[in-house]
Amino acid sequence: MKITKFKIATLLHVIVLITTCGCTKKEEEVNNLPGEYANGVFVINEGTFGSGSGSISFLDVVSDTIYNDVFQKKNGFPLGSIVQSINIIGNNGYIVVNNANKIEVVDIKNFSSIGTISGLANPRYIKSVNASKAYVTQWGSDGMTGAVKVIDLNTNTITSTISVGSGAESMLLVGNSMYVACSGGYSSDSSVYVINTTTDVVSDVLEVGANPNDLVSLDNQSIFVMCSGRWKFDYSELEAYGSLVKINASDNTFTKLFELSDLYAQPGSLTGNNGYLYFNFNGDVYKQSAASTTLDNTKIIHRDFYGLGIDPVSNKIYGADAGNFSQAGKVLRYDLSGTVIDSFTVAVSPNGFYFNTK
Amino acid sequence: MHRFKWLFLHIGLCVCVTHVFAQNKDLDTLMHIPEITIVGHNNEVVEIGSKVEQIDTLTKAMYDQQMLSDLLSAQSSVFIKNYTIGNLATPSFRGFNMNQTAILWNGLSITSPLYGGFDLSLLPNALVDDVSLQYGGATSLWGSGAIGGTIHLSNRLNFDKGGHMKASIQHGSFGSNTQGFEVLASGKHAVSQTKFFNRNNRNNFKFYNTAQKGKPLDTMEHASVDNIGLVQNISFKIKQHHILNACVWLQSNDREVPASLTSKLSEATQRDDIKRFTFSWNYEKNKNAFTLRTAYFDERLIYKDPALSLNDTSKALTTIVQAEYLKKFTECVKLFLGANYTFQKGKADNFTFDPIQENKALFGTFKLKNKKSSIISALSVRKAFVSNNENPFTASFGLELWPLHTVRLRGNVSKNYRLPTFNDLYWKQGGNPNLKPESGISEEVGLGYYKYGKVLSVQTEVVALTNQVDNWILWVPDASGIWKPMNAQYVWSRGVEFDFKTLLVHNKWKYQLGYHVQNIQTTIEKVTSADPSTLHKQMIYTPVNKMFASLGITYNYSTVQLVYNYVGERFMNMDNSLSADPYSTMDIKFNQIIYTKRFDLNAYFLINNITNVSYEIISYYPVPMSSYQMGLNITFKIKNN
Repeated sequence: MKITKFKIATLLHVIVLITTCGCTKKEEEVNNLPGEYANGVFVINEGTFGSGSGSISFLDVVSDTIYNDVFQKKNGFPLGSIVQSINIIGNNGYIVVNNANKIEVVDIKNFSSIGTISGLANPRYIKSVNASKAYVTQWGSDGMTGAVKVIDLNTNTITSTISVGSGAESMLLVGNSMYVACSGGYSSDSSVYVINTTTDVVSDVLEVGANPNDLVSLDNQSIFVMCSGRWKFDYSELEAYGSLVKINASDNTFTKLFELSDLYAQPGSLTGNNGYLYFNFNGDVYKQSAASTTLDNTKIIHRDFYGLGIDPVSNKIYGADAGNFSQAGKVLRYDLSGTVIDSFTVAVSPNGFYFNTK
Repeated sequence: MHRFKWLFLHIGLCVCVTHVFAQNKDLDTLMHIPEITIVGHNNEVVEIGSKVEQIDTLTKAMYDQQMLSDLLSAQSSVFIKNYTIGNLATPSFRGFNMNQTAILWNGLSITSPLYGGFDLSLLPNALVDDVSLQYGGATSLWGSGAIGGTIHLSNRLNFDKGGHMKASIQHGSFGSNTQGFEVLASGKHAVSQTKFFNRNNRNNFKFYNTAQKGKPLDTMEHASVDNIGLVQNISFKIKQHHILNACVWLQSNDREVPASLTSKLSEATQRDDIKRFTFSWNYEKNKNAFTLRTAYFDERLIYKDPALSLNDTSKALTTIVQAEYLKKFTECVKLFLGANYTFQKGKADNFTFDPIQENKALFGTFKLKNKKSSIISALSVRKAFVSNNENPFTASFGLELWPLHTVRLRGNVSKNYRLPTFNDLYWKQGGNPNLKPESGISEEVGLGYYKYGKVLSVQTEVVALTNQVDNWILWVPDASGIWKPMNAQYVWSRGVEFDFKTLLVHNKWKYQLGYHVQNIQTTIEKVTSADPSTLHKQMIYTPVNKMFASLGITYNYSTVQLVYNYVGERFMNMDNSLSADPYSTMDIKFNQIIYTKRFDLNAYFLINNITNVSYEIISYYPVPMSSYQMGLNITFKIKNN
């Protein structure tokens, strides 16, 4: 049979059509959202820098069901780059998005977007002072000019700025005093600022230790500060060890309880429950009596977590394993002795929890 | 009936929306496009058993006033990871990334020793004469990094060709204006070529903001780019068999660096200053050819971010001395030997000292073929001696068989490596001086059919490939949260590619039809961590499926070309839990050439993305919807007396 040029050309075009049609679009995922956001745990997933993969997961603790990326699924747009924290004030959820310089405000009943607080520079955490006022810590655009922004919760606008140390990080409210840990940001600091929440004026500055990060109080009187330590300029080793410091909130005196003497490891993720503190250090979770003045050295979990939390109702320990920070992380639950209970896959770089349990 | 056949053929061509795939010079020659030659050092052996794709001169001319990233993303099968137009654009050959790609200028590597890559958005096409792409591993030929593929750039000079003066202008969307000129004077004993390029692009395009509520129409901000560059190339035939060549490439680039839509508005800027100098002496007589090359590359990057009070400068200095000897025993037996000495020095604020690396290498290729050229083979070896790392030995073997006049069976197997970069080894926070080189094995076979006729020409090939890389360098956080590079993964790339190209000639009409499709999986096959969630998952931002097709119709010297590109799903994270949607675009190009005795005039008009698709190559980095470029090249000819 003689094969004509026409037949050859036709055959080639058929091949083109067949192979072109082989490139089909993947079927989209079906949105899956919880009915309500009570009785659950919010997991903060930072996402990778600039990718828009930062998200909030919600774990329904009644059905033990995990719902990932609830904000984008509900609202149709991403939270933004580096989701740092979430807090619930009144009926609203406030999600702090660090590198996007904003706080997304949602109705906590259904997670629908109701506004954005802008005008911030590298915000980190939001904490309510009262029903109409909140403080937001921020590092500043240069990562070193720490400040606390005062927010009018009725209008979601910034009303004033309180200058504090570098890398303003977590906050703790005791009476009329807001304690602000200044973690150093892109430089270094060693202070905890105390702000009078009535006047919005700094009332005290406590030089507690190298780069304080986390603040925890179990009795509304003693405040435990986890200082992460400080690297040498070339990052070859730590020049200041991490340490745990205790502040007496009645007179703002403080004592360094102990140092964590390792040249290459920094402590973090301090949390507390029923007379005990829990923190990460060098690939282990440590349990520390709040009454001890020295390191108990009790390791209950051998795993490196990017965030820790304890459910105040169930008393379960929550650990956020961020893996290599570029894939979906995991949340593992443990009892207080460190025995693993179960685990859930969340999203990229989980860094902490907010317990909305009753 | 004959008329209906042609009608059907025309309709079929238009429906298929295909592409002129300028892979083979034979078809271009049929189109009366000036013949192309690859210019590199040991080109005699480079192609054996490997897939080589060459950008034809007409296509390149239409993109001369744009950057290499624009050309390759539209006219090649390489996936270009482009963070919006004018900004960082890196190549991905067969699922690998920029670190596994070598980029060569006149046969010498211009890959940055700092980060092991090359930004294709900084390379004006007008400043080089030829662009070709070699697929698969070839470190035995080109040294570290040529694992996924190699981009060959070259500036070539020919003696006794007369001369010309060429002026080019282009205007396009988003405040894009380009000017260029080229002067060539080619005599019997001396030839000089000067190329100049200047481009200003505001990049203030409209896009749908996918990071905002309701995806509102937005305008790109802080994305302008300015490039200016000059290449001076000069050769002297000092004696009958002796040629001296000197080439200078100077370029400066200023650009605003936009952020992801999910981040705050960027204030960052980047300046890239590039100085490249090469000098060579070539002696060729009878069956012997000897070449001595030297090169000095000075590349500086100044990154400023007022918001972060950042003003970082990094420098990379490279000195190369390379000697090559080619012995043609007969037309069928050739031996190529070479020695390379490369000295590289880095300087950056994120290093605690100025790192240096000395890399000495001996390499050679033995090429053998039969008199009919129906069996061609080449064996290449390379042994490197690296001052601050291991001393890798690599080899490759390529074979081409022509069992029939129209059928080619080819294959290539190569052992490859990539040295860690200065950033991998010496970055202040996390650098790991104990890293091993990445190493791997690349194999491919191709079966092709080639038929050239006066009316219909066909060229088609199917390729199966596999490429495995061990000790893949990956930055991962340690227990203290500090990111450090580790030899963490074993990566396997495998798949198939299919290409074809046809040319139909009917009186003064010519129809070119080109098509490429690939399905290549590149997965992580071994991880060091206990978490298996990345195991067998596709590498991030490397599409498994890619296709492009085009249709070109020429009447005399008027051409219209439709180009269709499809890029499949790309995964945004290593466990493939997040992905970016596939996208497809269609471009149309019009070209009119007027030849006269005194001058040639080439006018063109390009409309990119004619269907006005809103898409993102990298998630939350927008690229323009429809845009246009129109340009004019006029070349005044100077005859040689």
